[in-house]
Amino acid sequence: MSAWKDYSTAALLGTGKGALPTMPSQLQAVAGETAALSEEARFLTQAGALALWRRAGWQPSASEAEIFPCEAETTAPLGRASVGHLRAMISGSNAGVFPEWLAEAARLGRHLPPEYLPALLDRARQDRSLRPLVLSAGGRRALWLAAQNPDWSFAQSEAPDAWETGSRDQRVAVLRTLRTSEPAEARARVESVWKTEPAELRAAFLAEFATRLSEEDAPFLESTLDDRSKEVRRVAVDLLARLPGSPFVERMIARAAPLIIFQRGGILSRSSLEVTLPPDPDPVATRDGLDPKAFGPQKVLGDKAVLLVLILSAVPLQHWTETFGKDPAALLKAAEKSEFARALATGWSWAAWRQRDAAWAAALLDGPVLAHSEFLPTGPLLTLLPEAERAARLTAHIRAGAMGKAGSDLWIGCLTELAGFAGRAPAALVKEGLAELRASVAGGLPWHFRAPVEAWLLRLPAAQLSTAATGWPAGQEGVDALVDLINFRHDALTALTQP
Amino acid sequence: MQILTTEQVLALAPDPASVKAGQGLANPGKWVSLGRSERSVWGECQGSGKDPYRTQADMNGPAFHCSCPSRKFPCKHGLGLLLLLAAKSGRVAEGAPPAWVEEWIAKRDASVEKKAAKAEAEAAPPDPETAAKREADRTKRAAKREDRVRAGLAELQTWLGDLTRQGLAHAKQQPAQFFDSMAARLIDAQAPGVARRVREWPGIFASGEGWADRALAEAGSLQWLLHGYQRLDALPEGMRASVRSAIGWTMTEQELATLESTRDRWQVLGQIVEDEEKLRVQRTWLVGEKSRKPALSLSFAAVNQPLDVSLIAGTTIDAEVVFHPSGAPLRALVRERHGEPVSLAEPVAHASFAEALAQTATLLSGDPWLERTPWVVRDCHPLRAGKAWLVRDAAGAVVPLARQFANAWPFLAASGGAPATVCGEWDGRSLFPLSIMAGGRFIALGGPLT
Repeated sequence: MSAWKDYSTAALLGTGKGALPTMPSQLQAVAGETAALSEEARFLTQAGALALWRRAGWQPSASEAEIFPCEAETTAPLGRASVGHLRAMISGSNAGVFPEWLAEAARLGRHLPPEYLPALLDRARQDRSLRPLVLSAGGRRALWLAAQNPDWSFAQSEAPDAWETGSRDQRVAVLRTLRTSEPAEARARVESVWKTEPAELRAAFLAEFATRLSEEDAPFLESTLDDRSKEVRRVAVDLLARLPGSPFVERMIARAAPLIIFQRGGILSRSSLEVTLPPDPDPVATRDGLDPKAFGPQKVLGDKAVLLVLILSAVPLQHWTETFGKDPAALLKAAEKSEFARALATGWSWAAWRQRDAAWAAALLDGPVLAHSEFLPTGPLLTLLPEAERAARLTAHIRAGAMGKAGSDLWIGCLTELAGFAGRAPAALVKEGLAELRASVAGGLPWHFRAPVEAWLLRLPAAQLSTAATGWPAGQEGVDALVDLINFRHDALTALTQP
Repeated sequence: MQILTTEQVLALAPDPASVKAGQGLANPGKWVSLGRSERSVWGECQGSGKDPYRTQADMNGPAFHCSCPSRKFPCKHGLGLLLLLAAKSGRVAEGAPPAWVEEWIAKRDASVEKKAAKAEAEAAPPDPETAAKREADRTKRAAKREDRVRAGLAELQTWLGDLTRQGLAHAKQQPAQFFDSMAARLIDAQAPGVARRVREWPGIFASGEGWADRALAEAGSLQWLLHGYQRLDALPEGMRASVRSAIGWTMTEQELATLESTRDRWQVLGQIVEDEEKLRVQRTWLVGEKSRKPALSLSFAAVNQPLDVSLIAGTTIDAEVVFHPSGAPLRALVRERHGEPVSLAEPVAHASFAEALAQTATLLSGDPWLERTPWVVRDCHPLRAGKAWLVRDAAGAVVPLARQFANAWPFLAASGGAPATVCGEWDGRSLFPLSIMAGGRFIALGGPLT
């Protein structure tokens, strides 16, 4: 209807600017008698009548776009209480429970109310770890919905061309998946782009070789020892040190062999280890990562002792037990009197971690010699032990008061260890851990120490949640939130089993 | 007793912070005591103080009372209590209310009785002298207001004429102050309805493509309101009421009490809360099952103050409703209820947009100043069109969804590609959904989903 267009154009410019439009003849009657009005009022009267006429006669357009309905769910909807928990977590309270809760919902054959799926898919877009969980708990509707929004395209599986065109994280994820299924193919892909990628990405790619690492990777890893980037070289050394058959490790064994001699004890003297410090690194040794300043500025270990640690960390532990015919405990005992006893323990601890050697780990934990743990880029040795032994040691450890003050390194370490048991922690361990934790937060828990506690509380065996929620110090800052988390987790998981 | 669902309880929250805090309290561990009776639910919640807070809700309403110092209403304790009841009714044992609950309930009943008695006293014929004086005062006040409104609207006519002469492109350049000061003068002139419309002009200018069309339509609508006021006596009764209410005259409860009410089973189909200057406005749309008439219940609240929480979207109530007089009666007061709300089963809906548009046209013919009309249409599908969204009816007709509607994806998700009944507000060019009924589930979409 062009008359309206005329009015709207005239209105834009102002009625003082020229000739004004006239009403279509069939509508003149509705505007009534306007002769007595001012020009502006008459204009607005007519425009108002036209506008109302247009509004009352508004016509929809048509669309024949095809609609593909989603198939019906075969799982059961969530119960009323569970929907409440879902809403709470979406709005940010106790969101740490989300991953476990989603997995449990899917396992129990429940599906989420569809109106919350957009918020959840958006969250999964940000948080990769939630993706499979949201998709499985979201039922068929989640896939159906995600297919309609490019933002949620991750639901269609990681796109195959993500390796070429994806973001940094996507490419690393593709590589990780490929390393699991076809490690050689993954290596070939990295080799093919190696020269053109920036250092940060090269290091990230190389780090993925830890998955299904094998001797076949050695030649390529060996070549990366000449890389321009220090970080890439550090990653390469770390990987090569885990390959006992590699030329790199052979070089390290050759360097290590002359440094340590086992002196058998007599009637009056104990067995001991005689340690010679390594020489200054030659260019080949430097290429192998032997850098006296590897631990940065520090006054604990001398330059040569640092080299000793680095060499020992790359030598198969078997070499020592076989060469000297002694078990780890005997070797550590023999090392005790050496001037370099702690350097030896440090190098061996690192090696034990790299080689996942439980026997050495146990001996080092028991042993009379302490490693310089501050220089170890590894997790705690305790994690290398079989679960039952680990639980027994940790229980004894905590019972002996090892956790100490909230926020201390030991306290965080113990909590991390506790969290490592996931849902399988023995009841005695949980009991000791909780008792110590309650005692250590008697004066409140500063918010910046909450993360390790929450990480553990989120992994407490579900069966022990109801007892875990009791006995906490009342009215202490930060503690109520912990109790709340335990209760919420308990309620949320329990509700999933109810209709 | 009537147990509200979690969604219904959350709809009562005055703000998102209360939702979060309330959820934190929906946990039996937080409560020292808990109980419920046929009518009320109560609990003692340990707060930071020495004595626990005493929280109670009267499900006739629902109404809340709590001994905590919060100025929010309902407070987090009230929400937590009802959320707990919704999620774990088994943990709130039935029993005899303690004295502090009895007292409050008794006080509430007493105040209802007192109000009724007062209304009765006012309705009773006073002695002739007082009556004459009251009447004279009222007439004097009313005449004074008419004078003010007349002067204010005359000024508006001049302002509108100047604006039209200089053009909308020029008006768009004016600072918000230009419109606010005219609005303020209209407030002084006791014409708040017109004042509100004038204050919304900068919003129209900022509304994107087609703003000039909308601004002109609004100017034309105001012009017709000015005509309407001048010819008030010549207008039919309903239209006269519409003009007066668009200008800003309101009905008091006493005035409404004299009007006839409509009893019906009213479906509470949609609810939306909007922020106006220093004020929250809640619109609740009802449709009568027998009459098929739409009705709009409004509730106003200052920030942090309670909105009316008695109408819960997704329920049906048996109630007497009084419509404010209008050429197109929509605004209504829920006067008296019979029995308790029940879950909504099947919304009273139109079969097509064409039917909804026809109803809109009828309503506009009675009140051309209506800013929005309610639509309830079944068998609808949301459709994506680039960045915009459309909704299609069973006949294949499509209308745009409102630009500012944030829940289009949840709408699509909940429909799952199956036809859904949509309840929403039509503003003449787009539909803002307030709720849908999909797969037998009622889903409120008028506000944030969490």
